[in-house]
Amino acid sequence: MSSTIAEQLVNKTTFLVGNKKNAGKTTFLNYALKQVREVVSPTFFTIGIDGESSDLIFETPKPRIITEIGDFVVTSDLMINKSDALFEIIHVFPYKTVLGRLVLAKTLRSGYIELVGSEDNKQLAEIVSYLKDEEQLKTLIIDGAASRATQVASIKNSNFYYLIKLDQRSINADINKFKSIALVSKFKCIDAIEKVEEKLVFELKGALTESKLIQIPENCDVLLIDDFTKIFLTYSQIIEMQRKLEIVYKIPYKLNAFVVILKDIIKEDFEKIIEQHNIQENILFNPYEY
Amino acid sequence: MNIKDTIQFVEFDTFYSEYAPLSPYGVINKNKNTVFTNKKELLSIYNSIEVIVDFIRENSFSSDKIKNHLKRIALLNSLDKKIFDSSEIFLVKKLLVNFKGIDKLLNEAVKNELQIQFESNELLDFLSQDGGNKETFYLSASYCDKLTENRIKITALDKSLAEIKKERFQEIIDKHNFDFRFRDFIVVSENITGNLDCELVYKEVYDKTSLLVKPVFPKKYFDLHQKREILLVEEGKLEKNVLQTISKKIIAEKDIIKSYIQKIELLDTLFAKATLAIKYQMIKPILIDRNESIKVVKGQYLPLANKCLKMDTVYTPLNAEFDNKTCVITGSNMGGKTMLLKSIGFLQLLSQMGFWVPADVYQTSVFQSINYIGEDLSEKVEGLSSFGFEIHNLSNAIQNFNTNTLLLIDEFAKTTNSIEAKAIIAAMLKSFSQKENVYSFVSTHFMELPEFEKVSFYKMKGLNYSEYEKYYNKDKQYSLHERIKLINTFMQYEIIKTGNKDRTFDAIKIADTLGLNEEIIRYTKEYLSENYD
Repeated sequence: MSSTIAEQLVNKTTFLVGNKKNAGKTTFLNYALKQVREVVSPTFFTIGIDGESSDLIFETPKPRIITEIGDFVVTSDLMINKSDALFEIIHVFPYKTVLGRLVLAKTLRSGYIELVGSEDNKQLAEIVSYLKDEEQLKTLIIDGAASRATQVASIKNSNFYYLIKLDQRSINADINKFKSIALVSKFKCIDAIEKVEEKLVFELKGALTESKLIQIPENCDVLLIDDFTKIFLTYSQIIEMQRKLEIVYKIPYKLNAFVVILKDIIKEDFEKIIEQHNIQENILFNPYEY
Repeated sequence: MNIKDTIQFVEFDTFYSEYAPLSPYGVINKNKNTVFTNKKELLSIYNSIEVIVDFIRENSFSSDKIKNHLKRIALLNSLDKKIFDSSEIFLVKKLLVNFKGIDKLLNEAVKNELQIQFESNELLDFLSQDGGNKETFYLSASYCDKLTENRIKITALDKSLAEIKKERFQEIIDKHNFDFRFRDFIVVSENITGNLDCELVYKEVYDKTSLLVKPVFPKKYFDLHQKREILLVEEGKLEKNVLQTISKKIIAEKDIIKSYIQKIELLDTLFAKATLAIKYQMIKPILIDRNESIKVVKGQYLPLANKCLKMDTVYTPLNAEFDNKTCVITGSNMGGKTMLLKSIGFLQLLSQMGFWVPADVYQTSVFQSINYIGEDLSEKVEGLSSFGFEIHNLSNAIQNFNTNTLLLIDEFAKTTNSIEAKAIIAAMLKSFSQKENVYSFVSTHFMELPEFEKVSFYKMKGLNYSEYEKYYNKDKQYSLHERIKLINTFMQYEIIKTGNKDRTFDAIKIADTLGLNEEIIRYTKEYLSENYD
C-alpha cells in the first residue's frame, strides 16, 4: 500500500480533497509526505487558510505538519518566521493573504510549519506553473479545501485523492455523495473519445444544472463540460442522462483513490453497503487503521 | 487628461496588450496609462528607445538575458522600515542580483543614456554569506558566532530526538507489532488493545468499536524537547540581532536601491517599447510647434492593419498633410472616414504615451487634451440620448480650449434632425477655426457645409466604380463576407482635398453591393434623378 501511494504521488501534482471540513486531509498529508520522502523531496502547500484548530474526525488537536530537510513548502512569510524549522527563501510570490505574502521555501532544518495558501484558483495555477517550470519541482502535494474540488480542475493533468468521512449519523447522505463522485470521476476527457469528429458534440458552458438540461439537443451524442466540478445533478439524474449521451470533460485529471475514514461503522458493514450500491472504486481505507 | 473614450474609440487596448513590460515595476508603470504632455520629456523617451532598439538589434542574446533578469525581479515591500524579515531581505537580494546582471549585460551607450550603474557589491556580498551570488536567501549562522553555536546544539538535539523516536518505534513494533514510522497514531479495534504496555503506548476512545493509539516517549525525550525549546527562543533572539544588522546595511543603501527600482521601471518599459518598435518597423514621431500642420506618411492603424492581415484583405495606410487645424472629412459609407479619425487618434496616443509610431512620417503637435466625440461606446449614461452624450462630451472638451486640444469628431449629431445638425456642425467649424489651440478632425455625411477661413475639406476617394463593375457579377450569390471583401477591394482609402461643395453619392452603390432589394435601389435612383442633377 505504501509504495503505491509514493508511486502515485512522485512527479505528479496531487490534490487532497475532502467531502467535508476536517475529513482528515492534513492527517493524510502527513502520512503521504512520509511515504514520498522515501523517494523524493516533496513540495507541499495548501489552499486558503485553515481556521479549524482541531481535527473533528479524530477529535484530536489539529494535526501539525512537519517539514523535513530538503522539503519545499509554499506558505506565508509570517508562517515561515513563526516556524521552528529553518528555511532558505527561494521565491516570494506576488500574492498577499491576511497572514502575509506567499513564499516558496526550502527546509534546511526540520520542524513544524503552518500552511497558508491562496484561495484563488488563478493564483494557484500560476504557483503550480512557477514551481514546475521555473524551479523544476515535480512532486507537488496540495492540501485542498473541503467540499470544493474546483482547484483540481484548475490544474491540467492533476491527480487527486478524495477523502470521504463516513459517519453513522449521516451515512445515507455520505454514500450518495460518494456514489456521485465515483460516477462523475470516471467520465473521460474529450481527447480520449474515439472518432469524436463523427459524433454530435454539444458544449455546455458553465455548470450542468437541472435548469440547463433543456439546452442539450435531443440528438446530441456527447456532452462536453469543463470538468467534474461543474456537475450539479443528483446521482439518478446523471444516470438518466448517461442513457442518452456520453458526458466528457475538457480538462483531464485523474482520481487516484477514495480514502475512506469510517466512524462508528464497522469495515465489514461498510463493505456490504458499497456492494449493495455497486460501488467498485479504488478505495484506500483509513491508512491509520491497523 | 481623460482619454478613456479616445482609447476605446481607437481600440487602443488591442495594441496596448502587446506592450509587455516584464518586471512588476514595468507592469505598474504600464497600468498607469500615462499620457505625456511635455514635449521635452517625450523627445527624451523617443531617443532612449532608439538607444535600446540599437542595443537589441546588435545584442540579441544579451537582450534575451536582460529580459530574463527583468522577469525575475519581484516587487519589494516598503523600504521605509526599521527591520526587515528574511523574505524582505530575499527580495532586496534578488533585486540586487538581477540589477547587477543587467548592469553587466548592457553596453556603455545604454548605461550612459539611462545612467545605470550597479554600485552595491558590498551589500550584495554581505547578503550572500553562504550562497555565492544566487538569488535565494537564508539567515545563515555565519552572520554570528553565537548563532552558529546555538544551531549546532539544536541540530545535535534533533539527532538525539530522532534516535530516541526510532528506538521507541522499534520497541513498539517488537512488543505490539504496531508500526508508527509513517503514522503519528493508529486506530485499532478495541478487541486487540487489552494487553497494551502503557509505558510504550497511550490509548483513547475513537468510536464505538475502536481505539486511537499513540506512541509514548520516554522522559528523556521530553527533557531534550524542553532544552530544544529554550535553544529555539535563544535562536530567535540571535536571529533578530542578525536581522537588525542586515537591515541597517540595507537602510544605509535605501536611496540607491530606490534609484535601481526607478531604473528597472524605465529600462523595462523602454525594452518593451523598443521590442514593439522593431516588430512594427516604427519610427520616432516628429513633434512640431502649434502652428505647423499634422502630416502622416504611410501611417498604419495597427488594430485594422492586423485585422486585414488575418482576413487576407488589403490594408491602405494613411497619407495626408492637413494644412489647416480644422479639417472636415466626407466620403462614402465604409469609405474610411472613421478609420481616418481612428488612425490619427491611434498615432497620437502612441506618440503621447511615449511609443514610436508605425509610419514613415508622423508629424504632430503635443496636445494637453485629446477628445473623442461621437457615438457612446461604453455603457449608456442613464437618461442621456446619443445626441445628449455628444453634447456633453463636446461641452467638456470646450472647457480645455485654452490648452492645446485635439478633437476627433465622428459623424456628429447623426441621430438628430438633419437641418439643425448641419447648422450645429457649421457653427462648430466656425468656432473651432478661430481657436489657436484647437486641432479638429470632423467626419460627416453632410454636404455643402459653409466655407470658412482656416477650414479645409477632404474626402475619402470612395469606390472605384468602373473597376468594380467589371468584376461584379449580378447573378452570383455573394456571402456577406464576400460582399465586404469586394467593397474593401475596390474602395480607394485615400484622402483627397476638395472644396465645401463636393458631393459624394456612393451610398447606393454600397447598398447595392451589400445586397439591398433591387426595387428599393431603383426607386432611390429615380428619386435622386428627379430631385438632383
